[in-house]
Amino acid sequence: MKRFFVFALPLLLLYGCAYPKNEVVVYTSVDQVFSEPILQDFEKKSGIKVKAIYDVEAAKTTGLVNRLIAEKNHPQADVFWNSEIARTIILKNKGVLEPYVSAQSASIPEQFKDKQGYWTGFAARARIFICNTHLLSVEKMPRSIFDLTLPALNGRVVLAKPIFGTTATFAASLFVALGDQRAEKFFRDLKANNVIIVEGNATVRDRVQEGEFPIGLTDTDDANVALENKKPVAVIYSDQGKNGIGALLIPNTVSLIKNAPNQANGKKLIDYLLSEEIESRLAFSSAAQIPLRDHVKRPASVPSYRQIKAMDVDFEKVANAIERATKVLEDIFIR
Amino acid sequence: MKRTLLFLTGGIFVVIVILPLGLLFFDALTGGTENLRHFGSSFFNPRTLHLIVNSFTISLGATFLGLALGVPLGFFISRTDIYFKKFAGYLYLFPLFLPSHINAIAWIELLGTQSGLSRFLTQHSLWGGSFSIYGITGAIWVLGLSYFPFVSLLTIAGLSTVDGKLEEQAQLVAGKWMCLWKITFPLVMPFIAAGALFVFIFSLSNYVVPDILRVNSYPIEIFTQFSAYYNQRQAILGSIPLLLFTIGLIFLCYGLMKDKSYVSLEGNSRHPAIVRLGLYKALCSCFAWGVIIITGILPLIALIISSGSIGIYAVAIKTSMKPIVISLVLSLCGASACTLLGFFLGYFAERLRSSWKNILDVGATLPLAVPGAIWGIGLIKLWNNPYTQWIYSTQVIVIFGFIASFLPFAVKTMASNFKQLNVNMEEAGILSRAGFLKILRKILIPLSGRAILISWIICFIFCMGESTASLLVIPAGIETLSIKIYAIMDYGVGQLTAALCVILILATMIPVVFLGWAFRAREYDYA
Repeated sequence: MKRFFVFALPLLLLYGCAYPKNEVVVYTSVDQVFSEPILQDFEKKSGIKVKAIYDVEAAKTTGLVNRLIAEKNHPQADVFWNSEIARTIILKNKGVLEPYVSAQSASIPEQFKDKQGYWTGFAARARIFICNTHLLSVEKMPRSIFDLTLPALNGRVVLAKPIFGTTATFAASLFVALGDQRAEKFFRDLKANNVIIVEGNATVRDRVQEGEFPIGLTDTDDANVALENKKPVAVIYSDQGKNGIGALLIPNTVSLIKNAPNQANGKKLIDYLLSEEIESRLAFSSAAQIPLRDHVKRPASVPSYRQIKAMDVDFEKVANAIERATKVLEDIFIR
Repeated sequence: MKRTLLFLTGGIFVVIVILPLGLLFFDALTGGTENLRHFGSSFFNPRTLHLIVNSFTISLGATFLGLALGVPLGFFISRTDIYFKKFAGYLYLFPLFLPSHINAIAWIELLGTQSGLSRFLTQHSLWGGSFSIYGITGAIWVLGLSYFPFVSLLTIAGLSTVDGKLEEQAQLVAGKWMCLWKITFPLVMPFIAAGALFVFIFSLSNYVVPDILRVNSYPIEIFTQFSAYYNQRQAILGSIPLLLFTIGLIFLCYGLMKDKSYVSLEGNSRHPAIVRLGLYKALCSCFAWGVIIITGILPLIALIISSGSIGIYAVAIKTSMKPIVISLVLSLCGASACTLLGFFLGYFAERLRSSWKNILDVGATLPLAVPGAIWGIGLIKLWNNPYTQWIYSTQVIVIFGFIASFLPFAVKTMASNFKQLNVNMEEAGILSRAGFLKILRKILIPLSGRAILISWIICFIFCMGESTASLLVIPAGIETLSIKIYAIMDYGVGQLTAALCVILILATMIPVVFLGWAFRAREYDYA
């Protein structure tokens, strides 16, 4: 018996390590409730076993981006499916990603794709105002982010901690779109107007829908949950006027990991995620993601991305601005 | 045999606990002078010092609250005749079953700005300004309530190892309260100090509770380096002051304890007598049950109310059966491994010559001050290489994470236990030519039953609630219940989150209650 273990154990370990596996490992920060069924369907259709690790993008996680950086020298993941874009570019800059241009990405607009193929964007969310319709009439709802600094909204605006998640991406985008000085002035004015800082975007939604605050800044997917639950809220896309800077569109991004153990399967999964079928499915889900291709089917409640005046920013510049924006925002809001 | 065991357990300890940390700190300290300069300039500035003051205020406050609640409660449960003390002996552990961040959320439900109590107090001007749990006082409250059972648990363990004969002899010349103060209390001091140390260090390294309760603290600063700037080196450097302070604290404990003797000459051959409270029985029972209800039952009720309906539990179990089973299996393995290693390391930490003893004790306590996320990165750096994939890409890595994070509890508990056991008994065993294994089997293990149980329970509860380190190393395709809760908490408390929290508490309780019951039955049989 003893001899059996002496010989069998190393063999089993070698088998476990060396035997080629028909699987793909995906790390995703997309809500599990949306991403899991999609990955399960891929497994059924392709016959490739999907092993996923789910994460959230909010403040309380140190999660997958740090893990991917730490695993860089010996990657475990094949694909990173991110619910936003800035951290994907940070990973690109840290040498974690490998270029892969999927045939499925041909019809995706250029501004949502990396020129070198390190990442591809699809199915976007937008940064919007969520307003409580019991506390604020339609006429009094703000139309521009600069309205949030007006005395009428003193102490009435709620915002997620701006150094994490999509709120940090939004802040960095303002640094790129407005320039550092104007963006910093905007946030200082916001602070002077007694903006309320909360944990995350979902908390922003909750506090507005419960009537604690009349207005908050959040993402379309969070706001859509309130709309589906028939809460007294309205969604406003900011800065849509002729001279407005537009609302920030934040696409999902998918990337291949450098030296991934199952690259061929990783590419198949990327192709699947970038298909029109998946983009449409995300549009019809509670996340109400906005398709980035005109002909992709979507419900009437989800606008075409062309109907939204999007903030004109280079995402590479946004990712590069995150660190300096975060330092300024830490100084303004956290100290 | 003894030496082999020392090298074996010491070796495992070095590989699982010291190496991942050593590698990280070596990497951070040798990663270029720019990092060190940046860390120096960011550490010695008024803002960081303010954060450190905040953290110390919270930790000290939580420790005092923990001692104020934990020591009397432990004493009442262990040594007095309070009403329903058998039930109290189980229920006081309840707060440990709630991970601290879940406890914070439950208290926000109870005392947050939107809670009924807060509205009532504010509306009727019964509180200066608006009443809210947010702030330093709230953080002290939640952390103190989350961790005080350590103090009670160890106080009870200490009291149960006191030889009744000592008290009986003392009572020949002094009253029972004087005897408790002069004899019993000093004998239990190492246990109480170990409990206080746990509360302090845990509160000091906790970033989630202050963050949820909107207090800026030093650990949040470390966390921000990690999650906002992705600067792992700065985060690691930032945790060095916490580690240095922990070392200082351990030596302070040594200083307080060094000249005291904790063993009786005849072993713990007789259980101490129960103190009859007489007129004070009702008052002491009210205190004990008040603490149990406020710290354990109220938050649980808040979670049950938040979960809404029974139907949500069916959904929660249906969607989370696999994570529940994985959590139980991994935590059973993790707690057992911690206790086994902790038994030997605690023994050697207590019985070795003083210089080795100090090194081992400090080495075994330091990991408490290391934030979970840093453990995760350390484990990845050490184990994610082509030769150790059978560890890194399997559940073994999660168990290693549990050992690295929670071994100090087992070592401290067992060291306190061996401090109480008379070395003469082992010497008698050696004189009768018994080998170390026989001494272990016939003397050390039977006399350490309660400490082994306590150590296992603490480690098991913490393994079940752990999510920060395991989030970073858990293999793809599996998920623990705690990680699942952590992930869905992003979307607010919600019914499903609350239901999963209740399920986590129940799943943790089942093995603990079963073991506690089996141990009591065994003790009863012996009696």
